[in-house]
Amino acid sequence: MTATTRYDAIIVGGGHNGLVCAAYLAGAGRKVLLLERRHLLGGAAVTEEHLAGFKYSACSYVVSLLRPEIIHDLELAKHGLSIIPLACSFTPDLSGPGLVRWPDFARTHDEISRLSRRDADRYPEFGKAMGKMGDFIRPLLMQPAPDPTRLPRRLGESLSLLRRLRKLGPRGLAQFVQLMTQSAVDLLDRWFESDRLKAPMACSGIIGTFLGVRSPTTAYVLLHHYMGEIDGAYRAWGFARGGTGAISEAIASAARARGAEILCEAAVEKITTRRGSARGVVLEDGREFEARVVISACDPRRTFFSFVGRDQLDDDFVAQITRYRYRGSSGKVNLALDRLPDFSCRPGRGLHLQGDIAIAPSIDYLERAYDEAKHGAFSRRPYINLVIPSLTDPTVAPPGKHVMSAFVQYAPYQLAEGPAAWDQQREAFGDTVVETLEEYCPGLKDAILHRQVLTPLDLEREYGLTEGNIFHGELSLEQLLFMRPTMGWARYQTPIQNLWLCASGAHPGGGLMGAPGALCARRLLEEHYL
Amino acid sequence: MIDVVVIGAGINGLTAATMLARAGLAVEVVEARPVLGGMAAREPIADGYLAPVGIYETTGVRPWMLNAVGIALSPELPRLHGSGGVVVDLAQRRVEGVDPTDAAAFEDLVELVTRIGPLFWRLMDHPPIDPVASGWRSLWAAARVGLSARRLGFEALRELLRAAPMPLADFLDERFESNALKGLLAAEALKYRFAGAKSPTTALDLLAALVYQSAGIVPACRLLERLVAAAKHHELRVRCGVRVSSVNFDGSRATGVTLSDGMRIEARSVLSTVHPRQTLCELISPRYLPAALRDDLRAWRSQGSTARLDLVLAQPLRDNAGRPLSRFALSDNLSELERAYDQGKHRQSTLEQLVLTGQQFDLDGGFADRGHDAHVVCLTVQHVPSDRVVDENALRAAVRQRLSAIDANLAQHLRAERFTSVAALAQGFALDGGQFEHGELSLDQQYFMRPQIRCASYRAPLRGLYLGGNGSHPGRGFNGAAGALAANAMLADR
Ligand SMILES: Cc1cc2nc3c(=O)[nH]c(=O)nc-3n(C[C@H](O)[C@H](O)[C@H](O)COP(=O)(O)OP(=O)(O)OC[C@H]3O[C@@H](n4cnc5c(N)ncnc54)[C@H](O)[C@@H]3O)c2cc1C
Ligand SMILES: Cc1cc2nc3c(=O)[nH]c(=O)nc-3n(C[C@H](O)[C@H](O)[C@H](O)COP(=O)(O)OP(=O)(O)OC[C@H]3O[C@@H](n4cnc5c(N)ncnc54)[C@H](O)[C@@H]3O)c2cc1C
Repeated sequence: MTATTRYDAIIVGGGHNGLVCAAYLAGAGRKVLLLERRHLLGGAAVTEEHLAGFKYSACSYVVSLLRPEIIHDLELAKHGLSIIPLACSFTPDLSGPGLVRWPDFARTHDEISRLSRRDADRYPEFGKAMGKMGDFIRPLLMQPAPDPTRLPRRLGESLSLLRRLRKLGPRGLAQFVQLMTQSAVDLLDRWFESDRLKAPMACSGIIGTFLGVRSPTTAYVLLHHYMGEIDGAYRAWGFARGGTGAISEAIASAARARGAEILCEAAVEKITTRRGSARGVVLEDGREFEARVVISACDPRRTFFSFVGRDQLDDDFVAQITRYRYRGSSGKVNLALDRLPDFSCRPGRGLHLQGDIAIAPSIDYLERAYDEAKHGAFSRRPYINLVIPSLTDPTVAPPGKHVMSAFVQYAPYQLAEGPAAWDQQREAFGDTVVETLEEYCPGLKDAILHRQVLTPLDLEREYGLTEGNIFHGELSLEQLLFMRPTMGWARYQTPIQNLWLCASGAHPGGGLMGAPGALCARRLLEEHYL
Repeated sequence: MIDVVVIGAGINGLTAATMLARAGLAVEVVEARPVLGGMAAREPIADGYLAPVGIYETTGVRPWMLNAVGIALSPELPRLHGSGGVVVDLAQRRVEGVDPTDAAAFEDLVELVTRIGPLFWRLMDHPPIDPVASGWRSLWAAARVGLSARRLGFEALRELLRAAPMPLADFLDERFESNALKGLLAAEALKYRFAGAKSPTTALDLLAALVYQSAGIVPACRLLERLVAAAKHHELRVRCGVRVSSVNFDGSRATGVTLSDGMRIEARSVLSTVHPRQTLCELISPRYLPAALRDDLRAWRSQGSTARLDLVLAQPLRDNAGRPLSRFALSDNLSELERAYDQGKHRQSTLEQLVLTGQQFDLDGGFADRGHDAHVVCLTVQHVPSDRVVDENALRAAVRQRLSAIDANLAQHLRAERFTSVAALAQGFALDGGQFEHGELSLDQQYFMRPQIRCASYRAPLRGLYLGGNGSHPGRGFNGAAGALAANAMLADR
């Protein structure tokens, strides 16, 4: 079958970024076709039902970074998006009552005071300092990355960044440099003394990275997770009602309402080019479509090496994309539960279960989890970030039953025996996670009705996340800003004319943010490429 | 009343003092230890044999520094031996003992190092730019750095910007196959760092080490000898064996120092080459220093994890071809190096993994005071942080065991041995944690962050007090650069 209509834009991949891009372009009156390989939209932001009545947020499970301007522009609330803020952050403990951090500072103060009075006093200050840094970085999330190597062409952007940097003053600037280069532990050590407070705080610095809490540069990742906002409330994370997939559905609905055509079970095999310029796509089932521009919502390696082909690209660019690093380090275990788990350090049903729950008893525990992964094995005692969304959102489980989502690190894509070994180690990995949890909530095992274990290999195969990296490439400094995915090509354009990137492998990177999709669309429109 | 008191007679202190004396100032140096030289000073290992307790080699000695103190020296380009017959030869710009692909990749790396050299030296030879200052002078300095960066060209700039935040292991894995070569380069790059090859930002350490080594290496005691001679020539007054116990202020500026014996030296300015936290938090009354700065200094990381071991051998260590070894590193691969770091990081007391780097000197290097036909080997041993409990004898045995890879009969040749723990270094040189460079050379503690953003220009936030130890920029290479730049700052202020 050949194309009968020619589109303005074809978007390859129906992750949330692809959908955002589609919605913006369609909203500007462009004729858009979006193609998704799977039977459902959302990519890593999906809701799946594996046992009747139990809705898993299979991959991504909490939202915070989604840009408010996107929610506003696309009227996502009208399209059914509703976000429920997390109640708190709970860190259970094997000996002692654990720690709960509430949005209410007074309550948190009481909690932290049990560990250290000094830390309790400083906690709000820390929040303010991070807030200040967040305010500094946040604008960068909604503009193409300023490229200081492109002077004088981009002089304006770089100068304004420089001016804002200088405005921070000496102390602020020093803090900024530290945030960009220090480890999460170094950063926290400056503020706090209690290991039991620092450990759960440090975790934000390692999510999605193949680094430990003591590795330099993890302070930035920590800040990245502090940058979110729901309705302007700073550092707020929340659940999407109906599971994370509801976000993708809302965006898809906004895109359709604006006239975008969306096809599922439409796996792209090739992006076709003519004289160095993209002209369309060929699907695995042979269908072909043509468009003025092709926009890939998949990661750079998949885009350039699978869809385009190395032979279409110059050697230097191929070398750069080859060097772009993925190495996923996270896994996910989703559980359907017969009853609510009971944490022995804080028994019973309480508000503390309605936030995120971190298995992060000490800095050393986290660092050792990393050490094992560094040498090619999954952590025997991993860091786990748990949520029980059914407590807050009853639509995701049958009455009285629950779903539990466990995000787990470290599960290195590259096992010592190679990635293929994950097929033999999947269940052992799942068991490790369940056994770790069982230590904190005895009886959990017996309550499990169904379990879904996602190894990095599964993330790659099922969700198209290369090497299982949840962010389409490591969020390390050398792969951020004007270097994402590679220096010279960080503005959504690619060396193939009319081929663009709009997903997490472009600035500002991964997470449920929507920014790359929106920025790519904005550039296409504002600079009249489309 | 004299012009300047210099605290510390290490390489930085002697360099600064000599430069100031040459500019016509009346200078006095105070050194806590009985001898000149700081960590480069030689002390007896055993009857008749001497070696530096701390520093045995100096890299990055620049012609402008030598001129500034009026001495001559000719640095040599090193040959560095690794495991399995791998030799990095910077004079020939090549590596031996690896397959042709790796050899070619090494030439590319040397090429990159040559390309980025001018930018490095632009950064290292000058005071750090002040990112918040206004005024033409600082703008001009920043513009010159920018121009040097641009002159690299797109590819080299991309390589540098990409490498700077990267883990060294990734940087090496992208380029080389040979485990021995990777282990060798990583051991050399990280020998003073409390970091593993998988720690981000360590690729920069290799680039810096190669740039520095491409400028040549000198035995530290040779540089020291010349500096001492220059100091004598300028009739520098030096007081050894007495500590400075405080730096004095009259409310608005420094007025001199008080010594541990109660004596006061009145001076218009004070230049300290001591660890920055020692200088600012121990030698100065807290009321003179902003509380925020004290807080920030408390967070200054200078936990060392490199110990020193010196051996006196009857027979020299030899390479595969039977020639006496000079510089070498024993680290077979990156994962071994990483495990050594893990053990240090977790303060484990086992000694399963050790990373050794070292240099062998023959006796005309000045390591004996009478004519013995022996050889002195100076070693760095990683990672043994000072707060880690290790059995010293077990450690020595483990090092000997490791060295037997080079010389199976080491035990029969061993005449004497001296171990210097990190704690002993910290104690002996007021190092405050035992990091030799007076502060970990991590990315957040370099350039305008060294030692703090408000005193990176060598000027403490107190008038008349200058910081010229390795806790100030560039803080690398034990070559006197920090002292020289501090002396320049002081001269510019007059
Ligand atoms: C386990 C896990 C937990 C996470 N948790 C969170 C979280 O709690 N909060 C948060 O903010 N972020 C989280 N993330 C990260 C976040 O989900 C992702 O970074 C983000 O969803 C990526 O969105 P994207 O649109 O850029 O790409 P994707 O969602 O990866 O979209 C790419 C799309 O392309 C499709 N595709 C692939 N190949 C083809 C083809 N040949 N033809 C057509 N289509 C194709 C894929 O099926 C997919 O739908 C998590 C990720 C994972 C994996
Ligand atoms: C084991 C080890 C090996 C090293 N090897 C090398 C190497 O091979 N090559 C290299 O380039 N670098 C090496 N370094 C790094 C090097 O030591 C530093 O770069 C160097 O010490 C900095 O020189 P400095 O003059 O600033 O400090 P120092 O040499 O520490 O000089 C400071 C001096 O001040 C004195 N002092 C301290 N407090 C007082 C006081 N209150 N009053 C008076 N005097 C005081 C000290 O005793 C000391 O003599 C090594 C370090 C160590 C510990």
